[in-house]
Amino acid sequence: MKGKTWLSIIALAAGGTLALVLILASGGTAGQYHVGGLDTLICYDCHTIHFSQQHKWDSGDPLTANTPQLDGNWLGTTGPNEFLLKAPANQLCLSCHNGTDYAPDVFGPNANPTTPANGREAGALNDQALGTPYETWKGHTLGSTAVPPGYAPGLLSYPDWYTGTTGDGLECTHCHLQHGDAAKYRNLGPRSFPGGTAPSYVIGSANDNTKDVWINIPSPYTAGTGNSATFAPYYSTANIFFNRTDGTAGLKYSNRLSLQCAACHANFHGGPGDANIGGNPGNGTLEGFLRHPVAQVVIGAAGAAGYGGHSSLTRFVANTTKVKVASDNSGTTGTNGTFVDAVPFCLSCHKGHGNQNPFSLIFLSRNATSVDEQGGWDATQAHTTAEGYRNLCGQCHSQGN
Amino acid sequence: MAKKNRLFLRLLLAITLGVLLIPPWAGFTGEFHTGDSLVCYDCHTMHFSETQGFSSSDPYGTGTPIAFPLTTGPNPYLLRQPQNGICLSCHDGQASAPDVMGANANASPTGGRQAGAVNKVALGSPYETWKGHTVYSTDIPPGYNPSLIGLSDWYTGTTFGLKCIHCHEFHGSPLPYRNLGASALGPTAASFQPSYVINTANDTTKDVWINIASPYTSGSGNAATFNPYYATANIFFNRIDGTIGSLKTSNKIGSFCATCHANFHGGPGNSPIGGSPGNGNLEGFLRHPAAQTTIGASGAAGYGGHSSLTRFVANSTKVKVNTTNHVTYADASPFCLTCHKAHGNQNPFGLIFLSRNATAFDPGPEGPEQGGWDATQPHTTAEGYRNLCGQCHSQGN
Repeated sequence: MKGKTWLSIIALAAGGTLALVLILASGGTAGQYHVGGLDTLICYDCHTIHFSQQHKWDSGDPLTANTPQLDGNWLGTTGPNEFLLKAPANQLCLSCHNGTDYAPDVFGPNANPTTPANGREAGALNDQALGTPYETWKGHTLGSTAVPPGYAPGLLSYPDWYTGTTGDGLECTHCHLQHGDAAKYRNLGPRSFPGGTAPSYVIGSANDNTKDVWINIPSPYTAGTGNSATFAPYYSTANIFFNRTDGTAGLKYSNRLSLQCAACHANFHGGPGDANIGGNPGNGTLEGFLRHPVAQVVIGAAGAAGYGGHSSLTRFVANTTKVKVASDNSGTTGTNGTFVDAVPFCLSCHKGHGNQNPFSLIFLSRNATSVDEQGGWDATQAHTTAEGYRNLCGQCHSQGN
Repeated sequence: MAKKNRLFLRLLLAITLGVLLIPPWAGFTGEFHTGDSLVCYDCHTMHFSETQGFSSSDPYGTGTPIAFPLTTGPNPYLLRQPQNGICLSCHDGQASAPDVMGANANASPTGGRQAGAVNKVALGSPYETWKGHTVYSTDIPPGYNPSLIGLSDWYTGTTFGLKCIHCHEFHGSPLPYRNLGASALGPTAASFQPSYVINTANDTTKDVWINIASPYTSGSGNAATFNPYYATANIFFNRIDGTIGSLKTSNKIGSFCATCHANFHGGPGNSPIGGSPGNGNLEGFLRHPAAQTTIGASGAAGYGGHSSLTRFVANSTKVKVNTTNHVTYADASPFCLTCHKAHGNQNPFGLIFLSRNATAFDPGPEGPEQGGWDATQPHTTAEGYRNLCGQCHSQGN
């Protein structure tokens, strides 16, 4: 009896392991390529133990490539590097994520054969060398040693964590977990953040309001196809929506993506009553905002929920092309809901990486005839910064519009 | 009559269609604060931070530098500077916008600025605080009595100080003259907002006639272009009788001023003004009428001999009046801007010391804003005051 029980346990364990291997092998749970099993990112894709490789992993053939190749058969030209990287950190990330056809392009113009609908949700990073139309002041600049605008980690009870003001400047890993985390939207981190602050997400045609981000594409999604026709929907502006998940972590937030941004830009985040934002109830409505609220202020609401007349939910709902908001009522498609609880947050106005507009602002007309990473224009207006700015404000505000 | 009605309806339809055809980007009615001219970021900043950008002075890379870097803040309403400061950052001492504070940094419009100049405590002579509207002042407005015009106690300046936005709608509106009509008046603001026409031909259905060629394009940033739009010589006021609250009015400018100074407005029979028909003429004015009192008229239209239309018409230099006929002045009625510059000037109480036959003016480009002198008289307050009254009254002149 004991022998049979023991065998049963072994069988179950083996079966479970096999199942786990199969699951991992089928595409990285939750769609994250940087984490996962046998057919996603592997150690030798980024690391080299000795910064020396005369032969390929799978044959005696000489190694010739200095850009990423299948099965790790490549070595960068600059090194050896810290953390045993095959190339300097940002260069390593961009060796896949810039100018290739097999990984999402996050830097400057999109080189992927298939463009995401309405552009990349996060837009594009830049650096000093890229130049127009991706000048440094239009988004996050890799290699920049500038102090992040609004940097005040103490507001979140964080230590002075940011290291980008020296050395190699802003790095991808200041925002993203290089080794991935299946539970975290876009592998957002970084490691030095306290636990529980990373945004969660759901992939599927039905939303899950308990998650911060809804990627409205059919599930399951298979990462690592190396095919932009497959991964473009996963990154497209048209498919990404943000739920309202209120909380407080030093500052108020309505979506944990705000906490990610606030790690560098805390002065610009928070909600009513937070000292850097202002806005305290007076005469039954919120008064005295010092900075634009990015949490827990409902568009157009009166009383303690909103700012009584300074914005208009009716206006916002009527927009045929809307900026993103944090809302649990975005409807079945993300755009057809009532938005009765809609709150503006950082990604309402800015692209996460950047775009071709000043400060990566999204100049989206209420009735744009087409939408891209910069926003969109209606049929008649002049395409100027002034009109674009007015468009953005005009999503929620009628003043001056 | 039926034919007249059809004609009227056709005319109304044509006007409506004409209005609809005006391109929205054409700076409708010439107001810079509305439409596609003034932009949100000219006055507001979302995060009170401009450390990155095309340059510190041109962060948006538009080629149009932001001339006023962020200094004091963050401020309520996400303003780049505290209120009044943000307005004056353009409207005081800048060549690109009308100067409304103290001395005019731009070349003077013909006849001076119609509204004159506001002042502040720090400005000093010759724009002392008692010579016009004093921004930041926490005084209660003289004659403040909002119930007379059907308003509740709306004025907040006794706590926060007088602000530009107590009179002007900061986001602009294409319909009221000079964006008049404070947001604080709420839904009733429309009742106090004077209308206007820009054209070499008058429209007596509008409160104000700006007698310049149409169309006028705002936002040129050039005083040579915008000066005529603000020139005393080009601004006229029509007579449109009505009632606002319990007070009579002959022009919505008067209604607007009454939102703060109601006790000084109204016409015959209104309690603060007095003046009831007696012996066939109006008798017993308690305060100078500011509506529906025709200069020199007898009977119920005027004050029978206490003023003279013949005298007024003969003036070669006239103060402004409400009238439907700016040639004969047959129905001319005095109102607030007959005697006062709306913002102020260098005279006590913003009074316009204008001689009937002015040939000389105070020194400086703002000289005509104070009025004017004839060739022989001494330039004293007493003479000036006599000049003003003498526009319509011969007594003591």
